[in-house]
Amino acid sequence: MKKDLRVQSPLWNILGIVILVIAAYGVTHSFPIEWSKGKDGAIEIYITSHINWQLISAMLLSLIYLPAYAYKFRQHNKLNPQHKVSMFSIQPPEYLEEDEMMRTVTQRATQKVYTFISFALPLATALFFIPMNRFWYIVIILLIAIIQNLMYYFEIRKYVKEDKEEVSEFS
Amino acid sequence: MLHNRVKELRARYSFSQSELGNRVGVTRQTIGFIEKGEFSPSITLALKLATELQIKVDELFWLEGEEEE
Repeated sequence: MKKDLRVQSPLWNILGIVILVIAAYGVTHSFPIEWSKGKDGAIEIYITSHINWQLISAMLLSLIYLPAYAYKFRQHNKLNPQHKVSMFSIQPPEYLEEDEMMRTVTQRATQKVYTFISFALPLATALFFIPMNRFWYIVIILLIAIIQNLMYYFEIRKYVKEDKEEVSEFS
Repeated sequence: MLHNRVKELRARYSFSQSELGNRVGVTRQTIGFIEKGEFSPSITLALKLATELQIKVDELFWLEGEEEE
């Protein structure tokens, strides 16, 4: 069960987020925005563009990541027709709902994530008052998403890591 | 804490965790966690397990501090 896509999907999400961080760096540094106040009081905005290697790397990595992730979905659905997941569904694929324990485990993990999000978002909002490059605003949000996925993964993993079948050896 | 005799009775009937899980409609992991006392099943699941293991539910599960029959 450890290799089930629904268990591994937080790790895939983290990989996608890392690519997004690279893309964010590429975009914010490829298209830096500068503004100044003219003599007449009007605000002048300057957007320049120079494509950098981070942006190109992120695009290339996406070209590998997205088809690979889509392939994992297809493979999972083929092997688990009773527990199909969709890459384009609003519901995250990581919910385990086979039986009551799996539903409880999913509930515990989502509860932990909710607790984290409920303090992390106001904290992030407070940080946004500090003037900084817009890249760092994106990084803060993506960092929250990485932590959220790690928390979810480690909570679920506790219940699925024991993959050894215990046959009847009781004496 | 909820104690149980699932592992003992599963052995008596020579069921693997998967077999017992399939019979009662849960995963092997769930049977494993019930056996270790780390997951307390619902009344429905406890009744299904008791039926499969041919025992009364209060003889299969009991609370800590209560005497095992």
